[in-house]
Amino acid sequence: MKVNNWLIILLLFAFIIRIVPISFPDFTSDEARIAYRAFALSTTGKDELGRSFPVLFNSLDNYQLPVVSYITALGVLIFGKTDLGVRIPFILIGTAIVLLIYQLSRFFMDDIKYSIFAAALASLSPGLIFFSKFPNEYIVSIFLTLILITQVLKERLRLPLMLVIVLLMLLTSKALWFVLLPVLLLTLFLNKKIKKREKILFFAVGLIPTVIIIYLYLNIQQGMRSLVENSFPIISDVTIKNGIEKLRSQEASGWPTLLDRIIFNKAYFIVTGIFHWFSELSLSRLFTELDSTGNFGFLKLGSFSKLVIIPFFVGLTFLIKGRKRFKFLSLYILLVTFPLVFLYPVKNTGFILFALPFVALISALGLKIFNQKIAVIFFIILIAEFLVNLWFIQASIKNSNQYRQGWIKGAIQEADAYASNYSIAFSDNLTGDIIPFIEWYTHFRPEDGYEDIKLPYKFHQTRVSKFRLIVSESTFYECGFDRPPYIFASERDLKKIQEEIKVLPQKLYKNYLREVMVYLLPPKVCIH
Amino acid sequence: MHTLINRKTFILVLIILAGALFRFFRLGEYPIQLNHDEISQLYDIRSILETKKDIYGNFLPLAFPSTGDYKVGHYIYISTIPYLIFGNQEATIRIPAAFFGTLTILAVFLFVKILTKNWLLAILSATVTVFTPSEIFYSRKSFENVIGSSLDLFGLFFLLKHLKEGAGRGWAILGVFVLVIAMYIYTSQTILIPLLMLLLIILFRKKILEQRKDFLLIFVLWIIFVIPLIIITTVNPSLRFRAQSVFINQDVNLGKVINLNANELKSYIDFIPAKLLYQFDPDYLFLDGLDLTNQNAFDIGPLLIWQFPFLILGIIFLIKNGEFSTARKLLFGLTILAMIPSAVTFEDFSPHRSILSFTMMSIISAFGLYWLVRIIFRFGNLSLKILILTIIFTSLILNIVYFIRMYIVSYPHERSEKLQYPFKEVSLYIWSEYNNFDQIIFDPKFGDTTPIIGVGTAYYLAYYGNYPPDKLQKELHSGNKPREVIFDKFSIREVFWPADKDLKNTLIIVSPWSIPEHDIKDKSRIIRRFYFYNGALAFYAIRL
Repeated sequence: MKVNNWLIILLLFAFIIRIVPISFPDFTSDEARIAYRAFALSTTGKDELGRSFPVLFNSLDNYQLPVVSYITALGVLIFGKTDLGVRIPFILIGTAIVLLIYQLSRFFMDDIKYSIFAAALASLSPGLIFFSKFPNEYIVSIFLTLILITQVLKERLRLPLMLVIVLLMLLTSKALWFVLLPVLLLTLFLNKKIKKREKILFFAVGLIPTVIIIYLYLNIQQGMRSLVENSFPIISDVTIKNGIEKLRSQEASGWPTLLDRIIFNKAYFIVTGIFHWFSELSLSRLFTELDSTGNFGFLKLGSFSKLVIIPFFVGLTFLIKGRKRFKFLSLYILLVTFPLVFLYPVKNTGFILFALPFVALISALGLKIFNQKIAVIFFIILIAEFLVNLWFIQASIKNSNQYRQGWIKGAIQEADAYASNYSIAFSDNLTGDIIPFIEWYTHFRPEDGYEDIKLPYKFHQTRVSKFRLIVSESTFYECGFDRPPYIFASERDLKKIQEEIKVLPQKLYKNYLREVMVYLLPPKVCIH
Repeated sequence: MHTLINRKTFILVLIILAGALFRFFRLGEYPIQLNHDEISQLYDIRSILETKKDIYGNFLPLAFPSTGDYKVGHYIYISTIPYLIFGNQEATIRIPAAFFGTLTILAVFLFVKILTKNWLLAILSATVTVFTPSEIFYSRKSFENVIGSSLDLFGLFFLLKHLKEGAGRGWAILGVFVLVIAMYIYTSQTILIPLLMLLLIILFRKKILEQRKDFLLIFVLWIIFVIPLIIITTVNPSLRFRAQSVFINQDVNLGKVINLNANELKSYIDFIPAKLLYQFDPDYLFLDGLDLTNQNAFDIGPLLIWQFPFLILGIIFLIKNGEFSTARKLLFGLTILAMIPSAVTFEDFSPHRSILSFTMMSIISAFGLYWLVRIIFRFGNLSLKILILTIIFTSLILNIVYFIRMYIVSYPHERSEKLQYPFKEVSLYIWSEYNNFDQIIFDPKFGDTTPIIGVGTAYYLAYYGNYPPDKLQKELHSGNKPREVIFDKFSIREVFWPADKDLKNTLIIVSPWSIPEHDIKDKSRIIRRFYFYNGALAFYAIRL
């Protein structure tokens, strides 16, 4: 079979295993927000707060850069307000990454077998598959980073195209503000065919927009705070500071306090950050468990299948002993993940994804050394393992119960049915942030959610249209002439209500672990 | 030549002495108190030597029920030697571990020397072992696996003497014998040693095939040595219980995965490799694996932070350098294999089961150091040499100081509860008040931040009261009240204040978790307070 045919089959395969099952994983509230925002943008040209084509969006935690939202809007524009519409852009990007890894591998070794192996490993990577199934900045960031690298490694560079790629990168993820320049620099260094002057020019194309965008961001309302809190949490982390104080306060007779000042000080931030970086990139995250919470991964599956650890180590050996060019693969891994140093103590699963294309390229080096029959058997096992995990997909869904609360959909859709005649109240502790779920899973009209806020950092809505939230301070009373709402209460609010009013739930909703989470109360109770 | 050998031996002796200093210095004082395992072992030694029975009256048991967890008894029997030599001191129970921990330095030297034929590499490996935190930490408590790991290295040395140097088969038999002893010493070794033997067979398959008759004999001998262990483990319910109670099927996280998957086989296949790889997380290895504090980043791993870059360099050096092909395979292989016991037992991390793996990583980091030193000495620039060596040395000293500070100051402050501090002080106080009361009740429920039930209380009381073991064997029995154990005038049990407050002429030792201070109306009844090492209240003595 021709190489192109192999590649087409591989890409088709990558696409299929990314699209099936289409509704997995459930959205987190943040992803539901992007999904709904995409719907709002594609139908009205305004975001969920009513701003026309903004370049900066808001969420519960941070400002969000625009590219992911607009890409999602494109999908929703074509396929409507559906799972497919929201996910298809990312599925396609995830599939395209396989192609880009194929192309990149050609630079490191002119061997079709090697390139096919690298692409096949990427296509079967549970980590890359998982992140190709919902709106997120990481899969787009990898895609753009790989485009940048492959473009820069070409003999002829096009300045306008470079500029577009750089701008897209800078408007996709704040992580790329720090990753872009080192990656660009290394890649320019690797391309021996470009002249020095051109290299300087292309580096400037990366540098100038980066500086401008960071400058602009720092000048928006609470931009600095956003950057420090979300991209450099190590600076504001109190555990290290408290640790220093606590340890220094522990007196021991004869132990010189000066020595304590030397060994317990803020320099330890660097040590902690470095180990955070390497621990996030650990073998366990790469090969056996990407995310133990289930939020960003299949149950007990790493970024790659556990079996890939064998060719990875063989590849590493080859890399250490082999040609100089291969060594840059490990350098790329370090450059694209180094901001993890500053993310302590936050576990950022998405960042590991940046390393995966290069891990695939290293592992393919190892596979190439294997006998071809062994390599074929290896891939058959990988496919079988992935299919087995698809068979056990319910286990992953249950594992993500706390973060991907798709079970709330039933309650919300029932609320939507009542919403034409009644107002609806939801306890605010049913899910992390329930408003995006309400907006996404109901027939909610975008204009009903508009709020007159320009750039609200960490924005949280408590009421949209007929839907309102019950907060922990809310109190309840028996409605006299007031019109009562249907209440979707958590256990906390059910107890509070039943202390005041005799009312029984008319329906219960369970989560994926079969625990009752939502109590639907008939319209008898009013809320202060 | 003779002078050179003497100088080399002198350096080795100096290094071993430095290791001994780290392991023996104030052995009775640090850790600050004997924990429940140590106190039970120490008292059981006395019991065995005086009566040939443990405190429950079992004749020379192979597994000691002690505090309910059936400890393999070999450490206790080994400890009878220092007990007979040094007498009944608290440090006595820690001496075998400290002794074998020191011997490990020699074993590392011999192992690396025979593996690489390189004196400098061997001496650097031994030096790094001297100050590796896991080596020191486990050598200063009565811990069997320190002996196991030491024997592993000696066993490997003896086997390599035959396999690599072609010395007589007596060396191989000795090696096999030593490795089998390690299997008897500690449960984890029974998993590790067969894997280790398999690794050696794979690495030296050519030689083994050439001399298959010899090796068949050695293998048969190994089987003969191991058969009694298999019989003992399968026949003795206590040992079987011990093995089963720590196996991975007791892991709560595995239970959760099985529940999610509703399929055991898949869960085991997914869970065990994941657990194995978690053992190699850098945070665990270098920052907090020994869990000496509650301060997240400020803790101690089984290896020094200083070793991290050298470990990476060592791995690269071993891969690059064809000269050390066997060493590479053996060191990498052992590093992984020695982690398996930790991966198939119930705790998330069990560094005490992975000591040999840490030793291997220390050796690999010594290879990294060796490589760097070699590169530095190729430089012509003297000041650069001095600068780099100064940085390496200063950072090492700082890291060692950091470890010592953590071990002797922070560890007691933050983890005194783990050592059941202040059970010794309480026991001594109880004995000082022995004649003033008709009954003494001790409720071992205590805790710094959350309540736990202290174990081995009877051992603390018996040991610090110099209570005759034969008398304890006769008197120790369970009572009718919750958690009650009785001997002499002592009742170790849960205190129920509404009922117990009316007792007469009774001393009650209890923590605020069992009786909050505001429940004690007459404060003058509190005649003594006992504190954790960090100053938090642990117990008070109430006179009724």
